[in-house]
Amino acid sequence: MELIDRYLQSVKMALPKAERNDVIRELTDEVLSQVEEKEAALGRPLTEDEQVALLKQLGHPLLLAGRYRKQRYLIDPSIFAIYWMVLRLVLVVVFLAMAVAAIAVAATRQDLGKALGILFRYPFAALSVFAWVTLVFVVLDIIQVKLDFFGKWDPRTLPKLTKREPKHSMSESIAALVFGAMAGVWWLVGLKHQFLIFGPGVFVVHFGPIWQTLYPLFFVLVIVDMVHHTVNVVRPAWEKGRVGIRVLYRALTLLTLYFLINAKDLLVPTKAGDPNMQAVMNGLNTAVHIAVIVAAIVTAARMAWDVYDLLGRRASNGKRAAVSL
Amino acid sequence: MLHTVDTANPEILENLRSELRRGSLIVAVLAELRAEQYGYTLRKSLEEHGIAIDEGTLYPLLRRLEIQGLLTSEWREQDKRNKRFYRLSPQGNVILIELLLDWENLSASIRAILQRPEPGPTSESAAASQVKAAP
Repeated sequence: MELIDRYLQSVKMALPKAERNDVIRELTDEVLSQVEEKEAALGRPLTEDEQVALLKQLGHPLLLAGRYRKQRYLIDPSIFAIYWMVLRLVLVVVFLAMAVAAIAVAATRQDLGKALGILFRYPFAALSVFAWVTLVFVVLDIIQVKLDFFGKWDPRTLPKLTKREPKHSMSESIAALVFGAMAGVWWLVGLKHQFLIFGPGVFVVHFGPIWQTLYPLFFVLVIVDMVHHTVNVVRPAWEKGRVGIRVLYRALTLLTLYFLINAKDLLVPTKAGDPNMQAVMNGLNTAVHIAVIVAAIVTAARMAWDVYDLLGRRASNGKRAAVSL
Repeated sequence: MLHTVDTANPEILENLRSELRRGSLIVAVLAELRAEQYGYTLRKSLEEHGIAIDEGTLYPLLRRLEIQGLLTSEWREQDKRNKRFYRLSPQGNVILIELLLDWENLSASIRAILQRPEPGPTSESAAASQVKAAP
């Protein structure tokens, strides 16, 4: 019976102190009654394997003891969805703030190490956010139970109907935001430290002066792109806002491409005065100019579609409003 | 479309069954304890009536019902061992009557739903069954 005593001892250790002895006395009786019943049926004492089978049927000591405890939640399931939404939102906002800081450092100090260092500190900031948001919700949970917050809701405060389902999933939008921020940092720092873009090719060719002139415009483009991704994450149903920001982004891209198309040398040789190199540079510049023109045509077409989408949406909203009136 | 138990997901069935049993178990335990019993005999008695309940569910439930004032208990010696005998308290008796009424009403409602004639097949489903029946 040593096995059974060991089992009961393990259960006892996991029980609340106040009811430990009481529960174990009762469980002992239950187990011994089962043993007696089985032994009477078999006409012999139980083997060790049979005792093991009996105890396994009772379940792991921790699980059995756990059933005597009241089920508790750190955050009640009724408000978990809100907690999850807020946690996600705060995590995105903190990331956005850190990404902006990284971009600012990259743009002003031209220090890639420091800029990336800010981004790499995000996991620690996220852990801190997780702890604080959870703590706040634990307190809110206690308060909402006392104030009956959910009993006092008004259906008229619900969000308006959206026409279409969001195109992208939440995880896709978050991934786009993260990668967008990283690509933005890489581009802005790369314009200042061109080996990050050209690699070893920087000893042969680099960007012409126009790219530095347009640097503030690139900075704004990165920020607008990140705002767009953030809106996708935070307010995926805000169709009008999303399309509006996209139109702004495309307009700024077109403006940038316009300056690039009109610039003479998009790429310049690192070592000037080589006649053979000049011929290569002419070819390269023609190719890049064509690529920029194609990019401008594609951007203009997509912008036209977005504007049509935006105006069409407004017209259909107007119609719906007229019908409902 | 009807599925047999073999084709239904056994895990889903088991979860639904356990949800269905959860509330009924309390009624069964309260009903059994109109006469005084200790844990082991109570479990055996429930099992004989087709309501199998494991020890890890029964004993914490008994404790909870006692804390709620629906059961009373006392330790007594029987067969040379100390046993805890449970019995329905007066408050538990009132609650049991209420629960049995609810249970009867619920059961009657479900029976009424099941006895209602099924709606006739739509033209689409009738056509589909005709296609299926064709050799």
